[in-house]
Amino acid sequence: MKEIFYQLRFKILFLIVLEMVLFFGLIFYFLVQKIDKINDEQMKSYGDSLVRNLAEVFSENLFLKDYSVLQTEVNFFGENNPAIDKISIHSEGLADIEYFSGRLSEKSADGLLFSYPIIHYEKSAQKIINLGTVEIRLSPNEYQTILNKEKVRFFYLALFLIFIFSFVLYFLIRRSLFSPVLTMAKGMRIIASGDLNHRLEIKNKDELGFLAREINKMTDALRESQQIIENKNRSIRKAEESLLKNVSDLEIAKTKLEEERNKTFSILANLIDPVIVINENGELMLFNPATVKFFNFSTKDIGRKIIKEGNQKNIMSSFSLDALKKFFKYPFNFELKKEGEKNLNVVEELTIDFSKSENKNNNTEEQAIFKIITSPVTDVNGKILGYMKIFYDLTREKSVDRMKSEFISIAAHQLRGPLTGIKWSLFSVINGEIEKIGENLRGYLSRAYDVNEKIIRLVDELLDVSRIEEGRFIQSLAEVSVWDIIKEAVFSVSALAEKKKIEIKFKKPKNEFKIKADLEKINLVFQNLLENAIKYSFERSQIFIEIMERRESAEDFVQISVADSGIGIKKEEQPKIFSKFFRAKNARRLHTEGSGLGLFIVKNIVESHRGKIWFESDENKGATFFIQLPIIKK
Amino acid sequence: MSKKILIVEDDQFLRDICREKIKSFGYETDEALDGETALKKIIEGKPDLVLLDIVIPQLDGFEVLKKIRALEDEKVRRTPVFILSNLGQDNDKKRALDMGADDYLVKAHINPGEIAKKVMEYFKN
Repeated sequence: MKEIFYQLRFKILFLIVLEMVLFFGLIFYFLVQKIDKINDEQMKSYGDSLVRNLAEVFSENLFLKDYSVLQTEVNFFGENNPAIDKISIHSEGLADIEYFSGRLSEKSADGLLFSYPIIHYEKSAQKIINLGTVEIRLSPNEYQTILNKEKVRFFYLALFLIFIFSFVLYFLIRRSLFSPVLTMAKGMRIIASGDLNHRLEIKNKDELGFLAREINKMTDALRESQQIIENKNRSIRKAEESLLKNVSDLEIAKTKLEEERNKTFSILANLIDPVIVINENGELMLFNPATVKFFNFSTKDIGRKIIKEGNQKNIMSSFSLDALKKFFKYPFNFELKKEGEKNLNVVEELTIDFSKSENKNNNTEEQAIFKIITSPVTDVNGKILGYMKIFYDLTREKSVDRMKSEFISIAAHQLRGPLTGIKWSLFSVINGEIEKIGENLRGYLSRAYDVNEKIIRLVDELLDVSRIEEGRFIQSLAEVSVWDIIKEAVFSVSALAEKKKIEIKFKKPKNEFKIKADLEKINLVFQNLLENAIKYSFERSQIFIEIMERRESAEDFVQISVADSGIGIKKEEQPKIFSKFFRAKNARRLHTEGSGLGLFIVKNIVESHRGKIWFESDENKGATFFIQLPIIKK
Repeated sequence: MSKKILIVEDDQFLRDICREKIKSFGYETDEALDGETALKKIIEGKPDLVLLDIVIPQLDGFEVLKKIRALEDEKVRRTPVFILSNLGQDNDKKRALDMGADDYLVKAHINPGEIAKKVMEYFKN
């Protein structure tokens, strides 16, 4: 931009200057001509005034007749004014006083001679005395020189004025032309850079102002159309955004679907129960890892026709365990429990016998029992996509059921014994021989009484067990002395011990041990242990009870041990001693009463008192049971 | 000559009552408390009928029965045996009869008088 201006500026400046110079040149020429023209007149008047002045100057000294001074004066003026060729003073009776420059005058002396009378004014007499005449002769050349000097002076003045004028003109042009243009250019630059709200502020009412206004109008129009474009852009962008959003929603939905699908597959894969799925043509579609435990499926089998050819209608019933026989890893038996009817599923029961198979597996179980439900797989519209078999593992349920019925049968059997005793007692009393009744009556009845007690005890144990199962085996805790408990327990079994002539040895410990316990339950524990010790000991043996303090992981306990030297417990059976319905084989052989519940209940009681129970034993070498309970420290 | 009945039962009380009742029907009685003794007494004593409990020490009733039914001596082998037990499921009865027992009696369902009557009826046939 600067360059442009530069050129314009100088162009205009140059033109102005040129014009000025020409203008002034012209004027100057004419003026000079005029100066030359009036030269003669000027000279004349110059001469006139000069001679007049001289006359006045000389008059005094002439009056005073100071002729030497006058001469000096005349010389002085003559020498100092180069235009004067000659000065002469004429006075009557006097020799002319003259000055002479020595120059030869080029022009004729006419017109160059000026004279004037020298007068003296006498104030007192009010008289004018004519003293003489002064005459000068001007030298035109010299006068020209003076004039030239004047010309030069004028020239310099004119030049100075030109410059001044040019500058002024320049500034005026700058203001009215350059500035507005510059402003407009700047403004347009701003507009061009995007600010369509910018307006050129040109207050000129001339063409530039008009240009600026038109530019502003154009800017307005631009802005409007830009606005329209922007609006269009905005709506395009909105459309784009919502499209993108739709796309991203779709993506999200797709991802979610994938996730769901993966989740479903994960669930299926992690399902413990085997699942087998076939499609509507009877081809294998899907099986989960759990299936592979029992079936010889591999990924190669996917797509393989599993079921025998049959009606499409009967695919579900063809999809039976019979059809899957060839894939089974182990020998098995199965049974159809429920035929598939309309809307109902086929149910089969499968028993797998691991013990009889050649394939050794990791199962410790001998058997597994499954309930298998076969159902159709449909889509949301009810169209059948395939069929699914789910194997529900009933083994544990069945074994629990089995244990329950075992328990009931054991309990029932155990009840039968005592009940038989009462029955036969009563029978004897009712139907016995008269003679014998008298002697044996009390015996029979008290036997019946004892046996009845046993039944009550058994029923109590059953109730305890059921309460433990339900979690209702609540304790009421109190501070009790261990010594008191042991004493009480020993006392309660003293009759039993006496019968077998068994001696129970125990000693009061140095320290008094107090525990927080449910007295009734804790009594039960020690009674039970002692009863067992007696039951499984041989006659005339000894049972030792020891009470001692024990410290474990920063807590204090009392440890009570009950040691017998009876039949002991075989190593294989030791793990199950505390379990619910267990009675060791050797104990059962003894046919001593026992529901198998005692130790289960005992363990439960001990553990709910934050205690521990364990034992050491060998077959026929007796058993020592240990109980550890936390004590209350003073 | 009265018949000899061997009573195999480890519960003394029940044994006594049973014995008295059998005796009152005019039979002679002998007793065994465990499987080994029972076997010995059957082989040596050759009773005319055995009342055999199942849950007894050492050999249990079924084992005794099996052993008897496997003996060489025909007479002993064919000794009549009534199982006297409180195991009372159907399959126990079937099992016992399959093993060669002549009858299966559930103690809780029967009284000593009825046992003696059954013995008597058996000998009548």
